[in-house]
This record gives sequence, C-alpha cells and structure tokens, in this order.
Amino acid sequence: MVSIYKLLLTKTFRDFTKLLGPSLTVSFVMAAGISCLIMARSNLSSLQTSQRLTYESLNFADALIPLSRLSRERIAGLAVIDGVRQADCRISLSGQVRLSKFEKQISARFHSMPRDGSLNRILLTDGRLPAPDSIHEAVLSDGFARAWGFSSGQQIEVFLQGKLIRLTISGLARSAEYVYQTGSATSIPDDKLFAIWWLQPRLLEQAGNLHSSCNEVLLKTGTERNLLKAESQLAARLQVAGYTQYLPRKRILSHYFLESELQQLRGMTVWIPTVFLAITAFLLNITMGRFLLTQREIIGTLRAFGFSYPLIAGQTILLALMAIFPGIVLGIFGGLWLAQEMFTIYVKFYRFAIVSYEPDWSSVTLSVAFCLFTALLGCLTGLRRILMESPAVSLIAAAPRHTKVSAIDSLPFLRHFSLIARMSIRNIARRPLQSLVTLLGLILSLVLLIFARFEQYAIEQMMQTEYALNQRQSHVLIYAQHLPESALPSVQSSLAGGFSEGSLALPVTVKSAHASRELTLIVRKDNEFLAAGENIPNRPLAKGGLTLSKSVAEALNLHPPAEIQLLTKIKQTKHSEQIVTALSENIMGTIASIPQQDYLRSFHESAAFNRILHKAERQTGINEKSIFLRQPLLTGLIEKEFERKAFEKTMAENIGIFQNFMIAFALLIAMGVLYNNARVQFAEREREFALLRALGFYEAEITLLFWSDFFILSIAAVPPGFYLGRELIDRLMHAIESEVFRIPVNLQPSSYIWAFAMLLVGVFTTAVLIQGNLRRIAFLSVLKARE
Amino acid sequence: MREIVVEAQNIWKSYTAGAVTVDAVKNLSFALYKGELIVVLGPSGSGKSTFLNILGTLDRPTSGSVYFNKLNISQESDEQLSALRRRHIGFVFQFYNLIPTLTALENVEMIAAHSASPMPVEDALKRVNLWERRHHFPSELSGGEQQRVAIARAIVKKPELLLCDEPTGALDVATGVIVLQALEEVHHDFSISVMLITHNATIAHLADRVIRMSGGQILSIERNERHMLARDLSW
Repeated sequence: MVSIYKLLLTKTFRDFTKLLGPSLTVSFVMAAGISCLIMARSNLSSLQTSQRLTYESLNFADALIPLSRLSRERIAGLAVIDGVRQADCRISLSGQVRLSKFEKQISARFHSMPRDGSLNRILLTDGRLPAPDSIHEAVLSDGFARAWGFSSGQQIEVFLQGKLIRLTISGLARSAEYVYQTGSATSIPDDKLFAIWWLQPRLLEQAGNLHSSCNEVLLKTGTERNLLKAESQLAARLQVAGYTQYLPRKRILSHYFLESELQQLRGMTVWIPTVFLAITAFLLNITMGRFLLTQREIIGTLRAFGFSYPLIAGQTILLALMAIFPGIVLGIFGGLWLAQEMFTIYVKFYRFAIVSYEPDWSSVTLSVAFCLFTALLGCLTGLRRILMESPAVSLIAAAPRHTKVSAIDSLPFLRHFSLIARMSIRNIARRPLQSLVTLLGLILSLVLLIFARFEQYAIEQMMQTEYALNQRQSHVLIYAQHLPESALPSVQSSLAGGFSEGSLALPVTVKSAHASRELTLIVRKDNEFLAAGENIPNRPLAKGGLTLSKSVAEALNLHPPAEIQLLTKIKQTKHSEQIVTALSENIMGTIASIPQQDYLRSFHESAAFNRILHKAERQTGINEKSIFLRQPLLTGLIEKEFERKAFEKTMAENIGIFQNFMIAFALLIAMGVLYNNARVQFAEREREFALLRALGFYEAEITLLFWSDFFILSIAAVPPGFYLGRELIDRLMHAIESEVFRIPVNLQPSSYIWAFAMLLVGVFTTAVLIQGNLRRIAFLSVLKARE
Repeated sequence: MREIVVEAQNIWKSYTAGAVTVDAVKNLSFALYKGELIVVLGPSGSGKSTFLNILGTLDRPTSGSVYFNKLNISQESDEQLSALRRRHIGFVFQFYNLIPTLTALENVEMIAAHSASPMPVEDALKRVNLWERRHHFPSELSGGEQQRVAIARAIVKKPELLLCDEPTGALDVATGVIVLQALEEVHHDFSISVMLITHNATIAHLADRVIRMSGGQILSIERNERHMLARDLSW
C-alpha cells in the first residue's frame, strides 16, 4: 500500500510546480534583501580585517613627527617618554619620477628602509630588499610598478632634491602607510602618478644632507591618550630638531581616507540592509498569506477526509519552505558573490598588504533565519485563517467580491472619468488589502529608485561643486614653503600663457571652549578670481572674519557670530582670536577661510603664497616637466581635469555596483507585487475579460483595462513614494555623514521623473510577462461557467 | 428573395484531447434570414452551443465556411472578427456576464461607446424596464434584472444578429418569461435576427423556425406552426 506521506509529498511537489511563478517573484525579492545584507556586512568585515591585519603585521605607527633634522642617537631618548611604547626615525624626502614616455609630473616619496621590528615596515610582494651596501637599489610601491608594468631588475630615473638619479628596482612592496595610495597634492589615488620608494639610508642621507640623522620620527603609543600624555615631552625634546607638530594616525592621509570610507560603510551597513530586509519581510509575509489561500480548497478537502491538523500544517509548511528555497539559495550565493565583487573593487583603491576576504557568516545565518521566520509567520497566519473556517466553507471556491454602491461612487469627479478608469477605481476599492499591498510595494520601489538616483546625482553635484564652481583653475601648483608675494610675477611668467593667481592654504587648529578641530585655512584675497566661491550655493563668504565649514561649526557647537581661537603651526605656533561670521556647506573636506588683510593683521605675517592657481590656455596647456625643472620649490602639480576624471572613474566603480543593485531590487519589488497581484486579478476577472473579448473588444483594449488598475496604483504611489524617498535620503545621509564628508540633500525634479520612469519600466515589463495569459483566455468555457 | 444574415456551409468542429478526437459539430449547413427568430433545441452535448459560437465568431470551425452578410469570415483574423462582433453581433449569455464593477447604466454605456450608431442608452434600458435601477451594480440586481441588463447591452448597438445562449437557463419561470418578453419586443421592434438556443422545448413556440440538434448534427429544421407570445408561455 502506498504511504500517505509519500502521496502527500508527491502532491506537495506538484503543487509547488504550479506555484512556481509567485514563488520565483517572491524569491527574487528575498534574494535581493538577503544578498544586500550579506554583501554589505561581508564587504565591511573583509575591509576591516584586511586593515587590521595590515596595520598589525606591518607595525603601523600611531603618530608621525616631521622634523628638520634629528641625530639618530637621540631616538632612544624618545622611547622612554611616558606614553611612548616604541620610537623609530627615518628619512623621508619628496621627489619625482621621470619617465621618458610620459609627459605628466609623477610625484614620488622616498623613505629610508625600515629595519626588522621597526615601525611602518613594508611587505614585499615581489623581488627582494635592497642589498645593504647598495645605494641605488630600491623597493618600489607595487601599485605604481604594476600600473606601469615595471618589475624587479628594471631601472627608473628619479629626481631627488633636484638631482637626477637612476634607481634599480630590487623588489615591489606594500605598506600600511600607503593603503590609500595618494600623494600630498591630490586626494584621488592614481597609481600612475604617485610612486613610493624605500631604499638604504645612505643615498637619502646624501641627498637630504642628513648624515647619521633623520627627519621623521615614528611613534607607537597604543592609544591617543598616551600620545597626548607624551606630547609636551616630545615637543620639548624635539624642539631643536625643528618640531612644530605631530601627525596622529588619523591625520595620515591613507588612514584618514580609509577610515572615512569605513565610517560611511558602517552607516550604510546598518541602514540600507535594514530597509531592504524590512521590505522583504513585509512582502514575504503578505505573499505567504496569499500563497496559502491558493491551497484553501485543497486543505478543505483534506480536512473533509479527516486528515489531522499536524499533517495538513506539515505539508503546507513544506510547500511554503519550497516556495522560499530558491530565494534563500539565490540570496546567499548572490550576496557572497556580490560581496566578493565589491571587495575586489575596494582593494583596487585600498591596497592592503594583507587582503583577507571574509564572508560574514553571521549575516548569512541572520538573514536566512529572518526570512524563514517571516515566511513561516505568514504561512501559519494564513493557515490559521483557513482552519478557522468549517471544511464545508473551505471546499467552496471563494466568491469574487461584489461591487456595491459606495462612498467612492458619490465622489463628484468619478463621473468625469472614462468607464475603464471607473472600473479600475472600483476594482481597487473592492480589494482594499490587496490594493494596499501593491501600493506599498510600488511606494517602496519608488523610494529605492529615488535613493539610487540620488547617489548618482550626489556625485554629479560633488563634481559640479568641487571641480566646476569651486575650482575654476585648470592646474594647481603646490610649493614646499611659503613664498613672498613679490616672487609671484616671476613664477607666473614661467607658466607661459594663461591666467594665474597666488593663494595661501595652511593647516590650522580651530579651538572653541571645549573642543578643537584641525583643518585647512584658505587665505582669500580681495581680487581673487579663480578661487572665488560666489557661485557655489550655500557657501557664503564673509567680507570680514572667519568662514567655517558648517560640519565643523556643529562639532564645535558654534553659532555665528562666535569667538574661536585659531592656531597656525608654520615654523612656530601662533594663535589669534577670530570671530566666525559665516558658515559654508562643504561636501568634501573641512575648510576655514579668512580675508587676507585679517590674516596678515592677526598673525603679523607678510603677504605670501604657497599655491598657484592657474588657468591654462586651452590649446597649449602647460609643460609640467619644464615647470618642475625651472621651479625647484615646486612639490606638486594637480591637473584638475585629470583629477576630475579619476574621481569620476573611482565613484562610478564604487557607487555603480551598489546603485545597480538598488535599481534591480526596486524593480524586483515593483514587479513582484504587480505580478502576484496580476495573477490574483486575472483569476478573479477572467470572466470579465472573456466577456469583453466576446463582445468585440480588442486585445489591446482588454490589456489597457487590465493594466489601468496598476497604472492608477503607480500614480497613487507617487506622492508618498517621493516624500518617503526624500525622507529616507535625509535620514541615511544624516546617519553616514561625517565632518569631512557631507552631501546636502537637494533632489532635482529630474530625479523624481527618472524614478517614476523606471517604475513604469517595471510595470511594463510585468505587463509583457502576464500578457500571454490575456491572449490565451479561453472565453468560451469561462462564459459558460456559473458565476 | 429574403436576405441571409449568417450562413454556415458544411462546417465541422473537432476537439482533440490526447488520442481522442470528438466531433462537436458534423457537416452542418444552415442559413439565418434577416428578421428571423430561430430556436435551437437539443440536449446537453448536442453541439448547439458550439454551433452558436461558430456563427457568433467566438469559435472557428475545423472545416467548412461561415458567411456573414455574404462575406466569408472563416479565415478572418481575431482582430477582424472582434470588429465584426463589435459592429454587428449581440450576445445574451446564460449567466448574464455583466461587468461587476460597472453599474447597469455603465454596462450598457460601455457597449454604446464602442458602437457606430447606437440607440440612446436610456431607450435600451427603458425597453427592458430597468431605467429606474440604472445606478445599481450587478450584485445589487436580481437574476432576471441582470439578464434584462444583458439584453439592453446586446441591443444598444442595434445589432443585425442577436445570439442568446440559454438566456432563461438560470432563471425561474416568471423571470424567464419576462426576459423572453424583452427579447420578443426587441426582435419585433428592430427586426433583429435572433438565434436562441435552449433545451426548453416550450420556448420553441416563440420561433419562426425550430432547429433540433443531436450528436453534433441537425436532425430537423421545422417552421413553427403554433406561434405563441412570450407572455403565454409556461413550463
């Protein structure tokens, strides 16, 4: 005799094949929710682990002190200062790389080779360390080497302190100090434009005139508190070596950018997967409830034949689990794959010495448990509703809902609508829950589409603000020291053509009553043109007094007019009381600006510049190599267009994958709710469509009628969708913003239009998917059947 | 000579289910004249509904030809057949088949809006005595009322051919008589050709001619010698 369990199992499998359509639609939505969480958390945890392993294994310093000259013998004295755990010194010099095949300026940083056990060690990825007695062998940063196709054994010419030297690459390496590999002149990493060299100290001692000395101290303190504790003693002991300030790890460029990115990711890892999973839970719960209703008559039959509740519940739960199984599998594998893809993109920009991709198994477990719980809850709720009915009721197919004269029919505008619109509105009204679920799904879809569009718009806005309005120059020349204003004409003349102006930018500390912040002070001239910021929205520049980044003012709890203390550390520490008179909205970075006459008066300085903003003539451009040869104090040159393109590329890669994921998820939600609703509608309204076909209505007219409900719901989703989209962006941006990175939420009409157009794409795609059912209406049998 | 509205010539309709082929209609030929009322009688499975569906272009014959106003429509496309039904053919179904989300008035308006020269919707509904109930939805009307709305909907476009498939099959006798009276009136007043299929032999007294079918074939076509008015019928 055949086992009843085997029969039920066979039945359940066959039921599942009939429910494949709804199962797949909800599976796609689930997969998106699960994979979003896994992707975000796995990527973040991989980045954090890679950072930790790189820092630990290469003994990354907690602070760096630039000096003019320190005898190596004195380094041992620093290690005994209270708070200092380890102190090392090295030589660090700036220079350039000269490649005959490349016209642009390539910045280079030269460091003396770290010893075993010292701070800021390097990890060889190829070749070997320079021989102890070789002065022209060097280890090269592997990012630069790979970008140009260099390998161990090749020779490269470099300019070091104005001298042309030929170095032989002994090996390639990575460093914790240069995870984000960018030179001082630009904030965008470009492997081709920045090289780091590590070589035996002898050559650097000769070049920098630093025999038996060094010019940089590296410190390990363990905590920031220890560093603060040691600060005064360090300053006292290093005064004679040219001490002005120390750079804590958080101000070291690579760490600063990496931490800023991780902070954003931490915010996004909490918020975006939460939103995605909440949407998934909502749709899953509703869909499973509806899914169960398709089993109503079968369950009624099983009950009529005396099957026990556990058996009925068991096969129903099995069916529910089968329905969500594709979603779980797709979500886990999709999430792990996406995380790896995302991490691969990240490690192109963040060159960790130790790369460790770590799938976040806790998020896999969490998301699967969450989806199972939600699905079972929806399933058991639906089952309970069916079991509450008597078997006799369950056996009869549920009658379609009747339409009766209701408040909607008394609406004065209804009679002005076409008959099709009236039918649709009444149809929506007679299925309030189903319509509400569809409406909510469409609203959620719009919300995500607006957010996805906002990301792209935010980048465009950054580009516009940072590269078009804020920086009208084509090039920025950066000098090693402040040059007197009188030197400006000769420097300008060496640029041959175009327009240029001098500018002064210096690191300062802003102190309020309880807190302080380090930022860049821009000294503004009255007649400046290229740097003038009058075209930038939300960036008023005060005629007198200090203009401060809004994010810094908030961190310091300042409301203009407010008094603050401004400290500069050029050669010696100077301070002055200033009044903050205006706040400006900065998207990236924090700055303060002050009119030149206020700066000169307050700090008793004479007019100087350390940057040249230059607008080259379009046809000629500038010859970077010859400028560097003629200007020995020039340390960096940024070509804005080059940097803009690099920024655009970086952002496109970083954001692109997430944006596409979000668009796909939004469309899946829209298509999921519409497809499921369409199937239910089709089952309930098949007679209506069959009749209209029999009465001579064309297929296109029936299609229009069928889809008019969804177009009406799509239109109805617009106001709440737009409002909630804006709210979500506001909250998310607030959650991930930092003092140095803040995107003002300023959505344009085009963003809303784009989001709605994308939603309509989803609606039309679903229409195409379901169109076959309309085409295949068996109207003869439908019309002969009893209503 | 009387004008033929619709004509079937040697039509067959076969359905295949697996290895089994069933002939629902076998070699059937027939012509319906303008202004004529035909009643088709036959038991369940005799092929009368299939026959009506083929004449009404809701179905296609497996072989043979159908002519509407002398035009061979056997090979017309779905869209062309839809246009033909829209302009020239009215239907009344056994289970009314009204649009549940439209009121009685709107159900009729919907067809009027798609017709070239419809009669006023008010006239159509008054003719079936439902003008007062025009703002009610189908679920708020009785079966007889729903069927009368269906008749109003069928005649509002002034069709040349009205096909009624068991129009009283779901109604009690009194209500059925009312519905037949409505059909009788519109047939008389507008000279519409009507084909009415039923298994109720009493209704055959309304007809000009009576067709008897069995096993997919026409057994007989007889002129009705004992013509009666709908109000005098009872079963």
